[in-house]
Amino acid sequence: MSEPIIRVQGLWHVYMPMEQLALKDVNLEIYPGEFIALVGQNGSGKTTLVKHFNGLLKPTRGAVIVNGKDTRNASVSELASTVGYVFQNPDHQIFAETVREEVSFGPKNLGFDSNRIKETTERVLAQVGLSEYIDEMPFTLGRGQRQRLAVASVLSMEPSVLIIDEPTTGLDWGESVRMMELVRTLNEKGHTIIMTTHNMAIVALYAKRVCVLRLGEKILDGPTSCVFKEVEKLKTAFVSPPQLFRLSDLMQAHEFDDCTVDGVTRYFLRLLKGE
Amino acid sequence: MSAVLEMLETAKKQSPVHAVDPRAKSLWLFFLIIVPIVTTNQWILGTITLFILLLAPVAGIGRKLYRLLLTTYPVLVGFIMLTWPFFYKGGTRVLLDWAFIHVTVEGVIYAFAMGLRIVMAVTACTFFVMTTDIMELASAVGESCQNRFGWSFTWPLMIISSFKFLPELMGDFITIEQSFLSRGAVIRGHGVVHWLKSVVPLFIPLIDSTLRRAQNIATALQLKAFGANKKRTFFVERHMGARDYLFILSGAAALAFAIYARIAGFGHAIL
Repeated sequence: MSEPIIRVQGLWHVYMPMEQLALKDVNLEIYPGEFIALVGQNGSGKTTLVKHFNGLLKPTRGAVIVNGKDTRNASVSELASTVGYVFQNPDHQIFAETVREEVSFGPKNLGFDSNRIKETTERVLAQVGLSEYIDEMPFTLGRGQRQRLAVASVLSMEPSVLIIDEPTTGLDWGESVRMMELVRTLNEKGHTIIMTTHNMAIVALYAKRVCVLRLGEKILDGPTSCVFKEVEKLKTAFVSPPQLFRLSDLMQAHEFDDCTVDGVTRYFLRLLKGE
Repeated sequence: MSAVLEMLETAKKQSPVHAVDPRAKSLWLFFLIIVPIVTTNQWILGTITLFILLLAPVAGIGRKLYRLLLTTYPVLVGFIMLTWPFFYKGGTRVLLDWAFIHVTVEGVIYAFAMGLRIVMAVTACTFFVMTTDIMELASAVGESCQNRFGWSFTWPLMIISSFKFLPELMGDFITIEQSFLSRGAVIRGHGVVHWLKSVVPLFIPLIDSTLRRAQNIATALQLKAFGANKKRTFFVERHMGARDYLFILSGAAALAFAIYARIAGFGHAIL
């Protein structure tokens, strides 16, 4: 296996001045090309953890190594070209008068030349399906479009790792699927995806690996199908696996072991066809 | 930013000073804010500042207040003392006379007194914020307006309650700043002009999110019938006691003495 692109070593984080312990001895390795979902109840430390990956937060104790670089000695702008961070609320980052200007903000900060900025801006807008809005005002776009614009404005910096905080919050199912299909395509093109979410249906459909946090501690980490089998442990983190996984778990008693959405679908299709 | 949040958190503590009626504390602050406008006498300003600082341990905020002010005082006084020699041309006891810089002992004392004016006002305001819960103040003022003066409770309650959202506003600002940093923006560490330039775009999403929040809160208030009746019920009807009047009296006495000093001719900085 290749070297991890993100290595978290004994990470502790305490928020000052309230002295709130947010992360407790977290160890994690994320490899290039992975699609990992961080799940857990509110306040479990998901966002605190991912904010360490691009240096927005610095470890109170322990270390986070990104692409061989210790985040304690790197600025956020240095890490921005490796780790892109899409915030939960797109309205927290949109400020420009046009979609083009919004998307080219990051590349300008990184010092790309003007041809590259133009080419990247147009390419990522095509990727997220917003090419036709290139000269529109961002605030006039719909919520789902603004969410995709937020992704585009981070993608334009060409980061190899993409952190997406609650990508489907506030979106209807159609927009959620569109957003997640975009994320899946990015993953297939080689981007490492780190997603925080409460939507277990989305996790089951898209994430290949799941890491569960409870009160700042990592309690589960592994392939999605394996993690969702740990029903009792998940309960302690107030995480409920999708019904399909609970069903497949029950079916295990009948020697069924393909606990993926596709596996269960195939099984029922075979049943329906009478095979 | 975290210092402000810490101050607002401290206001929820229990102590004899926290228990003083928020209206009494507001009046006390009002009087003390006028004192440095009336006088520049360093002894008067210094004594009142010392009085507030000695009151802090009684309120159980001594350590936090001192720590906060110790980082603020040198900046406030230092800035004034460093810039004043450029403007103060009086004084006979010359310390330095070079080019357009004319530093005298009198100038230094005057600059110190000017610094003390700000120090006193900042100390009083910080003490007030750290000992007064915004929601209690809103409720007390709203109740007074309605039950004592027969005015509408809506405006005071609404205006003061809006301060409750300051932590949320700050939280939004921090998130917005982080989202800009994540896109490679360099905000700090390159001087004031660079900071000003790079901080302006942050206000666009901040204003946007604030307007959205204001709209939501206004709708939520309407849905909960805020302002539907001319009178509303206040669970706590506060009545001022001896402690509250004593508090007001201490502020009024300080102001009265400052005015007397001004009339009697010793209200200016003693050089």
